[in-house]
Amino acid sequence: MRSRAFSVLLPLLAVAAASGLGLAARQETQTTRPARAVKLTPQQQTAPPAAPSPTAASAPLQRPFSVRVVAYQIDARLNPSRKTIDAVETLRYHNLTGQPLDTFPFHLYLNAFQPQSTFMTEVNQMGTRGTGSGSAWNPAHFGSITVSSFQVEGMGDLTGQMRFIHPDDANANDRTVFEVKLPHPVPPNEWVTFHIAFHDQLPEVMERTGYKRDFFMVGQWFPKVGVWWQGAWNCHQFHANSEFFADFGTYLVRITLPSNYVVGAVGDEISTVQDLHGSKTVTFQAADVHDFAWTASPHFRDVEDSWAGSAGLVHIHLLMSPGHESSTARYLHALKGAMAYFDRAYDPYPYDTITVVDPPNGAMDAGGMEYPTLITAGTTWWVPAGIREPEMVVVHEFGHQYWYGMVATNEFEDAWLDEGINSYSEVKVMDALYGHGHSMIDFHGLTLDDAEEQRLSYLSLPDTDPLTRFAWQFMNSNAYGAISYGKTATVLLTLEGMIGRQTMQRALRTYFLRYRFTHPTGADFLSTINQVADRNLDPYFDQAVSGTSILDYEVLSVDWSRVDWWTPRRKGRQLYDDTVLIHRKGDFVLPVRVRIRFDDGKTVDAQWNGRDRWVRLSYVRPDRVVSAEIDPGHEVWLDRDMFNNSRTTDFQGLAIGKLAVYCQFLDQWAAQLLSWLT
Amino acid sequence: MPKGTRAASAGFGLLFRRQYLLWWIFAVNFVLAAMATLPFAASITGVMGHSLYSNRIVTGFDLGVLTELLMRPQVHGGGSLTLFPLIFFVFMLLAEGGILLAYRQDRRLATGEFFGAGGKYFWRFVRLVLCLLVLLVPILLAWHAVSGWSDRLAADSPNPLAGFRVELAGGIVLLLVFLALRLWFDMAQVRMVASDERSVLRALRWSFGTTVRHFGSLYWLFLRISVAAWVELALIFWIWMDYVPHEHMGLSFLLGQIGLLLWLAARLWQRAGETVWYARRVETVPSS
Ligand SMILES: [Zn+2]
Repeated sequence: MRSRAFSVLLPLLAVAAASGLGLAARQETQTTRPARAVKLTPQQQTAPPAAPSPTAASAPLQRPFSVRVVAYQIDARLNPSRKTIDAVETLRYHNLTGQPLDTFPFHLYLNAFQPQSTFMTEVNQMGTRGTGSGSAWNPAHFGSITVSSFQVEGMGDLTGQMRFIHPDDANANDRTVFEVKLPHPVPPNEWVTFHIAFHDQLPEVMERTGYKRDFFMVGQWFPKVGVWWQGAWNCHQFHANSEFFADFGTYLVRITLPSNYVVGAVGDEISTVQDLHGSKTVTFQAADVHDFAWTASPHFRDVEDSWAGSAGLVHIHLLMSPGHESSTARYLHALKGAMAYFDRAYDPYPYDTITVVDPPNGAMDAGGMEYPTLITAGTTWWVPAGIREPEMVVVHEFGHQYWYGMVATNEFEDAWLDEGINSYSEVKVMDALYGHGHSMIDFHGLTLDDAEEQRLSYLSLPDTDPLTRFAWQFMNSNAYGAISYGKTATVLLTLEGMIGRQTMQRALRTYFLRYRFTHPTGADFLSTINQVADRNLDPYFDQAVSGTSILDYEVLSVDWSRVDWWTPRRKGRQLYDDTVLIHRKGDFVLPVRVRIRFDDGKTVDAQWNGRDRWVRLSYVRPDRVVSAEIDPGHEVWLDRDMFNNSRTTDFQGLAIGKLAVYCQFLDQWAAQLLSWLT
Repeated sequence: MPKGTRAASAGFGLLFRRQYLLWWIFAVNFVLAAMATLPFAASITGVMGHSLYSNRIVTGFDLGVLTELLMRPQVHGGGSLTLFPLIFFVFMLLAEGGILLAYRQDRRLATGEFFGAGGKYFWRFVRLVLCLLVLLVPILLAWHAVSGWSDRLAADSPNPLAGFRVELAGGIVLLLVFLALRLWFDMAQVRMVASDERSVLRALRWSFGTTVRHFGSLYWLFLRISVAAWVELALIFWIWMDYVPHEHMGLSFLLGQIGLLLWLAARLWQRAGETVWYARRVETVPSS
């Protein structure tokens, strides 16, 4: 069936490709935007980037920022009523692998939205964001990408050579990766050019991409070549719990669609050409990025703004959906705050544009996603000012410009490196912008800090998988989320407590400067921290990153007795035996500090290496111990139970009383409500 | 409306004169809930009783700490908290007959008399509750349909408010229908006590006709007090959220209990008002 479709469509698409699909019958009006545009000369495409600085000091970035392995040029036409895209792609690939290449794998991500794909099978088994496990198949979620023509310059039409491969499982029905064997290899340092015609059927929005009514969020929509990484092709199938991985390069994308649509995309809009038939072609150009996504809706309001960073002015496009006007200022505040924080803490945002997409009502599955220079947010008309979910999403997705966009780790294999480091950065930005202790929720006295939210996520599944697990191999989607995001952020917050805030920031900055526009690994990250902290933190990393042990220390007892307990109590100065018993409940060994407080208000701090299962701390003093607290600075966020970290000799009844009062109130009210039925 | 107004004020007078009923029922509500809360309080005492971490609940209301507390396996007590409202429900079924008799006769009933009346009408009122539950089924089905419709609108309509508006409008309409239903059954109870009617169906038939014929005055009497109850509770909640400092637990407790007392008073006010209305409109000028 598929091959028949190929043979029918092939001649048609070949003609369309030759004539420049989507560019016919235009030339009524043309607007050109001289953005701080990047010139895509072959020299720049081949030139290596400025050598990444091994130190924390950075020089201004010069184009090209990255080693440009790929150069995509795509002409696409959107059919809004059919929810389809017909496109022709030209990909120039630079073989920098140091060896001849005769096999090339490509992603066809949209084929994941089919019932027998690996993605859908995993969604059915363990759920994914917005979709629970065991959900019925919704035909509206069908999506596909069909390659009708695959030609290689100098090698001819290789459409017949395409074959689907399944590097991660044995699912013969998965069509998210195909491979083509060339008749002769591409020598090292040579370019090879592919001409690919393809047809997309977009799903109703699911997992970041698709349509909702006349809104389109078009991500992972074109045949994308894999990454030659660590001596082999890295081109995983699309999984329920994995994101993406691609090489840096350039994109020149022309999108033809009805004139009334407002379009946003990765990179800079460089021209808009209106045709005579109610269509227009908008051209976008981007360089030193590793993906291209775009969005369109006739209902977007493009709120334009700018932000002056250390590297120059950044144009902001905020594409707002109807009914969400109250979130405009909130989005902008969060975005500019995040940009300022990252500028200060790591390095300036080097691109000249950032686009924020606010998905319309019912399209939340398109929200909360990152692409280079384009992020999607998410809000509702009613979300109160003290509930900072919209702000957090913008802060998080902007953070991905650094941890994913520039430090382009392998999201399939090292989800913790982008999601986790980014969640940690998000905590820092939210704290800086909205105040520590109540950065996520500050609503009529109810508070929640972003760090606490990350920790709660970690606590929900603290020990199922190590951070380093491949994304699709986590126990389930909850474990993927709890560990890649929540636990990693909690591990890094704890690390910050161990090495100090300044050192932590220096380490992340060094890691960023050293590995931006490259594809580093977890080992690169950890060795950078060791180097900057000038400590061997491997014992911690072995347990927190590669291991699954639980960290839980408790104060077992706090006691005192008179030294001369056998004699009658007498007036005047007394000496007491004060003892504190500390217990390591979990298997995770971490040196901890214990603060012991006495009844004269004085405190003593003790350090315990935690290697044994317990330790008894004893003091002979003229005052009685009143409390002992492990980790008094509340820096060990990984500790699973904070309640047992301290023990007082006095009863702490206030909180219990308060909760009991609230609980009783609610129960009395529930009873009265129910009695309305009598 | 003036007749409804007069019944409302006379009902309030009756509520005030027979306030021992209010205090007594409130005490039962309070004591049973306190007992139901004990297992939960005891379980959190095990976790928080000697922990400095619990202070974050005292000086503010840290949702992170609260969630972490509820995630502890030692914390339990949900069973008794669920059971108590059911016990109170049965208690109210038992007390209803005594309450209505006390209002009807406008005198303090001896304890034996009160529970005698409660026992006498208990099974009739149980049958009434069963009838009410049957009639609630279409309301719940309608609510389910409204919810589904609003969910679809929330997902599919370009107007983000469409789903909410449908849910709000549907919810208000169904609430008003439920209140009308409650009024109908209230009047059936009043009729049963007033005329010692044994047949639930006859009482329902009679109260349906009466409620329909005098819908304006009766519904106005009933609705006003219901709205007052909700407004009162919202006001208490607002004062508590914005003006009571976190650590002032005594004040929180007092405010909450005042809110619940007034809420209960509103319900008894309705019952007193209905009794007065019946005495004036049915017994002095027979309706048929
Ligand atoms: Zn993320």
